[in-house]
Amino acid sequence: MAFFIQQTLVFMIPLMIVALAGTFSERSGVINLALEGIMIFGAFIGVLFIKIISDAGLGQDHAQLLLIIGILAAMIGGGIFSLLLAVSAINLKADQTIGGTALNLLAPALVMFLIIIITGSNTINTPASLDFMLYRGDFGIAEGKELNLFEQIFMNKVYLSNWYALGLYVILSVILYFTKFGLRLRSCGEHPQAADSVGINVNKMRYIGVTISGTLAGLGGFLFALTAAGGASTGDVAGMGFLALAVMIFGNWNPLTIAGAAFVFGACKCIASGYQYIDINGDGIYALANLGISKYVYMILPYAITLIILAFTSKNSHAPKAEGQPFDHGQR
Amino acid sequence: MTFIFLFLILAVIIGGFSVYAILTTKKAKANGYETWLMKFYAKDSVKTIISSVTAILLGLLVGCLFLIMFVGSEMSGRSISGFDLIDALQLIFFGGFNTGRNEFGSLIYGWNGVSLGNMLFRATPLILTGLSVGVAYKTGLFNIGAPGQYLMGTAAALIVSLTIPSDVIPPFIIWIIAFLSAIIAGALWASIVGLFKAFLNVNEVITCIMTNWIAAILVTSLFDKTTGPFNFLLDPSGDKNYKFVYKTAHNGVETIKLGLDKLFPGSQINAGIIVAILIAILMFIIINKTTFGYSLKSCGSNKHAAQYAGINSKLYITLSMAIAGGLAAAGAALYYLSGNTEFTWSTYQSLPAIGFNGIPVALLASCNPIGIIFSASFMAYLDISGLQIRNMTMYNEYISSIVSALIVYFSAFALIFKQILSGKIKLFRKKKEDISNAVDTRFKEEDYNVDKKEETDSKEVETTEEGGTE
Amino acid sequence: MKRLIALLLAVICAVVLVACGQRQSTFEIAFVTDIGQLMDKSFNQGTWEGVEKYAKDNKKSYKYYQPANGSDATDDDRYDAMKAAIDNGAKVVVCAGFMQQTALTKIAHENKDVSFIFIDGYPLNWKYTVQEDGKDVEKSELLTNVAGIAFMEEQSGYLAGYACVKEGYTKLGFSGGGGGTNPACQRFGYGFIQGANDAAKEDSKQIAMKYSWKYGESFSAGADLQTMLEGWYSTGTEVVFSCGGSMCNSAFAAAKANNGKVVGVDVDQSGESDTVITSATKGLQSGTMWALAKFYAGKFSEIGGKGTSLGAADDAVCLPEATWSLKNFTVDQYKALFAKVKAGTITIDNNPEGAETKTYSNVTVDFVR
Repeated sequence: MAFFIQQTLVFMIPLMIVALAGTFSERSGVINLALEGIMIFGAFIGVLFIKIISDAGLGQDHAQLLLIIGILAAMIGGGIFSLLLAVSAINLKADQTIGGTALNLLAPALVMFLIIIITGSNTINTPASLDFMLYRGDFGIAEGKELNLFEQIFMNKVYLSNWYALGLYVILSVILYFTKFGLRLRSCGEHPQAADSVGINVNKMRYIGVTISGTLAGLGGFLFALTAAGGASTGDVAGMGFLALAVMIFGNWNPLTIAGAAFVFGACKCIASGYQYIDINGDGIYALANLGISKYVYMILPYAITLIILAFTSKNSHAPKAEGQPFDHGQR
Repeated sequence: MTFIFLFLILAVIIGGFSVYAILTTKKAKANGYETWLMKFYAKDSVKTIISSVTAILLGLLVGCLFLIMFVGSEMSGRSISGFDLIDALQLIFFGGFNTGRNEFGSLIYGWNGVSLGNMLFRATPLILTGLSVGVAYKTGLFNIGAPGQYLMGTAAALIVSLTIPSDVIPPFIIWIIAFLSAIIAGALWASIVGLFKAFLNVNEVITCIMTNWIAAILVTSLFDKTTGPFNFLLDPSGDKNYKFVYKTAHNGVETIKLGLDKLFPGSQINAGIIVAILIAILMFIIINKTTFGYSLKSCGSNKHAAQYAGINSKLYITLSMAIAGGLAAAGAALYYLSGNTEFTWSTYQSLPAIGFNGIPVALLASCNPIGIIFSASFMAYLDISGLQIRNMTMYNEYISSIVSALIVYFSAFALIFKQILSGKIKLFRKKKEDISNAVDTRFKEEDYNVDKKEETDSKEVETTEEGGTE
Repeated sequence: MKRLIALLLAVICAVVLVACGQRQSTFEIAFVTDIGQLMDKSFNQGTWEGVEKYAKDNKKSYKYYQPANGSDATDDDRYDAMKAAIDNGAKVVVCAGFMQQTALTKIAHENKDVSFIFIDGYPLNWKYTVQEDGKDVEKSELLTNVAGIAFMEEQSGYLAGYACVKEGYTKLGFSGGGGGTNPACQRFGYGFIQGANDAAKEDSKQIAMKYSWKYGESFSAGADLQTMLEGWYSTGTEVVFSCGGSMCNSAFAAAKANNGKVVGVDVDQSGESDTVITSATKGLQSGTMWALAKFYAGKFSEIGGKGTSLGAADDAVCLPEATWSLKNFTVDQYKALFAKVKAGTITIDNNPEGAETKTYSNVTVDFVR
């Protein structure tokens, strides 16, 4: 069970945080198709900073501090990269689909170009000597003690970055839904003309939305590189950004349902790749392995289940009304 | 040297022409008549082309800056020298025409059949995936599912072309059957997306992404080395070792060359490019000259308005996706039926890049089918240029991807360029009102205005109709 | 305006002058990559490092070429890359990967004056048909300008499997790249089983081994692969032989989280993670340099047209002794074993077809489909 939950988190947290990134942008009225590209860029910047600092001989003993630096770097990198989208979508009123597609093309090309120059190889890694994972010993749990489920999940073999990300997720969701700022942001995505008429600076709000989106996607990319790619940035996040886009739509542009959608998807992905080793009720029998179903059936599961759920729930689907439309003062 | 001369001649021609244009226009304006040039310039399509070319030049220019930035840095054992820079700068523009070096070591240019033929060969599937994205876009659907449709087309084309015995049925007939069955497979696959959109109001982006991966896994399971029902189609010979499905040439099925291999000696080109261009022209006619095409477009610009006009939008949305899927699958068929390409069956972890590249191709051409022919060829040309840069200089291959990404990025500004050209936006504005005139009118020119006017009407519809309209 | 024109002219003149100058444009040693990146931490990189080191040591010009279209490269694309190499003045072309066969046969036939080193390959024949007495007769001609250099990966895998069992591990895993279609990886895996089986027989133990090609197709790390490996470790697997390129990153991460161990591949990977107990290496670098040295010594005919299998006898496969970390299985014991493999007293089967489903006396292979 602990295995199942921990592995689900590996898929779920990057998906969730990047889907929230998409939500911030789209709620402010800008379609952010570039999530994949921003993730790639963020992962690269985060890993690069950790590498630079530890190569300089600093922070070798402070892995957790370095982790925070890496996260911040990834977020700032993602934010800056997303400004390219913001400029084209907001200032130049360009087609947002094209802008996003361009960034998706640009990020892997740029990252690979730079990685080859920096390392002379096609990956850039966090140093092997750094272990960002925390074990039971780090939480003061003795070696011989039997762990309960909570301790197994939260206090052994964990990346603190996951919990930072979850914290950020909750805080930003609250901001989006329960503050004046959040309301203003969302109004820009629903009816920018109305927002403008009550004195909200739509373009500024959209800039903020896209930038927050960029920082979060950058963070998501870094989390993916750290937890799922062994600390390596390779100019690829395995289509995670597009899946996050799907999770965002699946979750109906709403943080709470996005979390649910990400969980469903992550759990299915976990079952798909580890079904032989999931002990559901803890009796030592791996039931799924004994069913004798082809691995491909399990692999299709996450996608098929998403489609089935969508088929039943989509009637209440609401995209932000003004997403994709450039805002113009002159139009009322 | 020839390159330099060509460049100089080109510069003189362009310079002379612009001087002529400026002088005649000034004179004409002063005397109150129009020259042919002014009439030509006033055309909308001309402005579109000029702005697209500007985007391309800007992208290339920034790409050149990238090249300059990294002079001196170490790459694959040797540092990048000024010579590399000069060569790369030439190749990025004229890479397709490079024919090697002369005795002094400078690059020479001419008709390079291999490069140009391969460019057209690579462009063939890109034109079709581009059309796939473009046609769906006209109906207001963002078809990010081209990779999945492409894979289904691949599987269908390969299975049909390899299982029908060629000693019974002539290969040419098999080719046609395989081509058609690929289109059907792709169309059926994409119509899942269309049905979900039309009847269940599921956003097409999400269904596309999901069906992409489902297709990738399904196709892998079909050819799986141990359990797949079609594993007998895997090539067991030494250098393939079950990694690939047989080339269709194994069964004698090959796309005819139609003499194109004489024009482009040594390249992989075949008649597929002609088929692709014909399909593009057909799509242009269907979309722009028929009522069917008009209905498709009107569903895209305003679903409710279309419904008022008696157009069954659900039907047309499904049909539009089916056509898009058929087009993407046709691209796959043309690529894999060529006889010299082979398909890696275990593809469940990655999606074909050609599918995704259809998106920038379509958008670069503003989804105009004729434009897509050129934008796809251009993207393929850039790839060839990148290959030449990699082969002839010390730069790495990603520079060409950076350039094509930049071009797509700048093409998003095509609208702004166009407005500058038509004087709607002055580069140095004097009055503030000017900006407000520059309304975004990119793809949904009428729709955007209609949408606003009809907002009150459509609200009523929405309460009776299902939920949101996306 | 005048100034601007003058400036432009000056720039053009400068370009013209510079463009006329001499420059390095021929590259004697060329390397054509296999599928995947040049720097993939294993196959391409190992070969490339051999080319690079030899060229630098002997002051030769060298360059790499990558077939167009990445993993979708056709035989024609590979041919074009080799052609470009020869057009750029290559005297010897190093081609990596068994998949180059078709393209290499064609280009080697057309360019008899250029020598080719076919890494992971075998001697090639040019097949053609002639008309004799009105009948088509198929003939084949040995291409003497192609030297096939292969490695006995099964020996390397054998050493690693043996060492793991002797060290005391009883639950092993093998996670291979290439989806079970890459002969080198297949041989590594088959050798690994045989080594474990022999060691277990000596100690009369039973070994359980998980054997999988799943999620390894692209030779890259990923969340799916990592989850599967975490599953292995959490259900008792102690050591996983991660056989293929960047896949090791997933294995390292999974091992780290579960106090598991990893066996590296191709090169000594102990520097990459402290979970690596040993690495099943093959001497790509030394093999490439060896062949290049033959060429420049004018002795290419010794290896041309032949298939050379480099194994323990040529010191081309080994477990790295310099970074030895096993405790129960000592370096001395390893040396004794290595000597036996070298002398050929231990026979290791090198045909990996169906290795996953065979039955072994002391190893139970659980083939993860």
